[in-house]
Amino acid sequence: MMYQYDEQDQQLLNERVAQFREQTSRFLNGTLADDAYRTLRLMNGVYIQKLAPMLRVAVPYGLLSSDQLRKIAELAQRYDKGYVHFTTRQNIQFNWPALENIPDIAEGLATVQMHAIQTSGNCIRNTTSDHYAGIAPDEIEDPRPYCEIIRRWSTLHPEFAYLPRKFKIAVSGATSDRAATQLHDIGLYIKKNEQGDIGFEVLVGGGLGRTPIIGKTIKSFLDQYDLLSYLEAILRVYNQYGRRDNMYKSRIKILVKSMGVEAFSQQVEAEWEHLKNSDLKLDKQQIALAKSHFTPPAYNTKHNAANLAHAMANNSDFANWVKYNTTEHKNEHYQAVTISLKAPNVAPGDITTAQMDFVADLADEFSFGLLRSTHRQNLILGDVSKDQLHALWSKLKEQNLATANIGMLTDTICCPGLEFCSLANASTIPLAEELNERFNDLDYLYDLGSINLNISGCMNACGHQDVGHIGILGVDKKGVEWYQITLGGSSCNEAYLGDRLGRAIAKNQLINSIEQIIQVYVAERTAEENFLETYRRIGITPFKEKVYANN
Amino acid sequence: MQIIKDHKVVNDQWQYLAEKSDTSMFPDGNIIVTLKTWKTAKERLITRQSKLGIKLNSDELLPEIVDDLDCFELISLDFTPYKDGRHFSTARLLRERYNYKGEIRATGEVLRDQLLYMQRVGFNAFELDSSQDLNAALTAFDEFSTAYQPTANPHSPFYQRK
Ligand code: SF4
Repeated sequence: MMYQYDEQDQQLLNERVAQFREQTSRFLNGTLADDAYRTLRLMNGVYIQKLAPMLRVAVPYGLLSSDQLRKIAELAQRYDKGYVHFTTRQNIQFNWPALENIPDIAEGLATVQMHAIQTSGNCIRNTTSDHYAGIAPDEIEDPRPYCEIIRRWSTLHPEFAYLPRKFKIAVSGATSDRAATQLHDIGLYIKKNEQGDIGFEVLVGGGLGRTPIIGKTIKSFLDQYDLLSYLEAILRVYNQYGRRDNMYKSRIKILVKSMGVEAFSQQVEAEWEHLKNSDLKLDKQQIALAKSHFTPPAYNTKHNAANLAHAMANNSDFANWVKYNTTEHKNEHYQAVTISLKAPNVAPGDITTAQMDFVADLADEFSFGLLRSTHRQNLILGDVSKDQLHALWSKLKEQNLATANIGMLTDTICCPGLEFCSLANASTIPLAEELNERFNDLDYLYDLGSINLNISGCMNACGHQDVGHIGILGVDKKGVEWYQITLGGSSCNEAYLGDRLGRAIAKNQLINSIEQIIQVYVAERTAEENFLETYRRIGITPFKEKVYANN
Repeated sequence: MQIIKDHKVVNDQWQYLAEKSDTSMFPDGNIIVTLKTWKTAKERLITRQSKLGIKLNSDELLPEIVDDLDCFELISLDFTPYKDGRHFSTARLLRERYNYKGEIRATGEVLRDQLLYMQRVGFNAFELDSSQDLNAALTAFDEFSTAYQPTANPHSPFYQRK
């Protein structure tokens, strides 16, 4: 079902909490220098933002239990303003904790096997994965056991705590990539070779930000038993040879680019030769042990299809919700349900304490007590019986959690932006709100079909704008908020970085420009085409002409 | 000067030899030379009677000295700035790949809060700046009683084998 800590996990976590408590008190009493504490607190997930510290809690590969979510709600109520934010890396952010309370929050998290370790800083970050892991019909192999193996290896790794820059790993186990795998420092695609053995295609050097790059394959098939030794080889090459003189050039993508993929992979292979047969080599038992934590729950063996069809025929809101917010499950009697955190008038990805408690109860009632967070900043109940969809929908509606807009234009990815982030050039949340107001007709949105609109408040690209079908980037023009639009990006198997539309657009014109882009699509599309397909066919020029026609 | 060595606060038995152009004469006693001095005066340095150590700056990596490891009873690895973690890899390679048995010392901006990781990758001696209380810093080694990774100084195997 879900990984349960053993004694070693719990002990390590408790010791980490004690260590951070002690570091924080040394800082607060003035015996630990500012700069040193900064590095240490970052490795414990604590940023000091504009208005307050921000705490980022890891959700390992996006999997949460109902008890964990309740604990988050309790901590948000007690130490924060009664809500938290889901990030684009499946994690949870507290926006307003007081620094002196953070050790207490960490202690509370540790009671439910959660933590904020390595959620920021120049170290190996929380490994992310497919939010449909274990339930997707197109799955080759469940990625979560491997993510869990990586979690252990990467947690408090003594050699790789002071890397040139942050380091992100994603694992996808399905044929369709839902984890933006090619946009990570290391991306792993689970593969099955001709002999039926499980292994990984290994990509390196992908990433967004100032220099967005799509990852390159350095190994087409790595045997599963060699996973950790190979990761260690990559990290060791990077730790020694990645640039440290310029923070904008210190990600592994720049090293791979400057060495060339060939030379880089040769160096990794040379290092790996020494590590291959070390203690890092996995064996059958270790993998079986990891897998034993992710066995499927006790599913029902039937459902009443006629009842569901009837309920859908009688209620178009429900039918739309089933169509857009639920997804096919490996098991024909079940469906995965996405809970939209993109309701109008709510900052994308935000969830209140009351909603968390409510959703946790729903998870217990409808989905074996488990939840998943997605990189598109929504929540998923992964295992809902088709017989219970209607009951679940009725309850979700009560708490404004049934907005049937998944995959639509208003299901934006949106970073916190100017309101919360000290690095931002421009605001993002008000734009998402304005967008929701302008495009408030769901039927119109359904007619437009799948459009991913991603917004970031600065070059750091936390909102993944480069891979949005429509990307919006806040740029600073002498203290005034302007936005750069890109079109045609995608983070799926055919990953693509969006093309720039043209010069930046003023804040008060932005939503109009988006509307114009949509108008071009509607005028040009063929019956079957979605936005991205039309864009690929007609190119950027018609969009450019329309948006810049009058200015 | 006092340092931490093998979990104890001890008087340092070594002195660093500053970079200098004249390499015809070396003082007696245990000295730690720079990479540049080593390269220019190898012959004279190996015929001395007393012990020899070498210091690598944070951007001087192991391949520079890998063929000469037998010549050094001490290798001092510099962390300046403290965030520059390259020598975490150097220390592991020395211990695990090259089976180096001499002293591996951390110098430069060494933080108390880095000691445990440093020890785990193979360091056994630490120079902290004079503002830090060395005896108090010794507690840093005991902050964790377990670990996931098999490194030079493992506390436990990587992943319990059942
Ligand atoms: S993209 Fe920029 S503005 Fe947005 S959260 Fe990241 S750093 Fe902050």
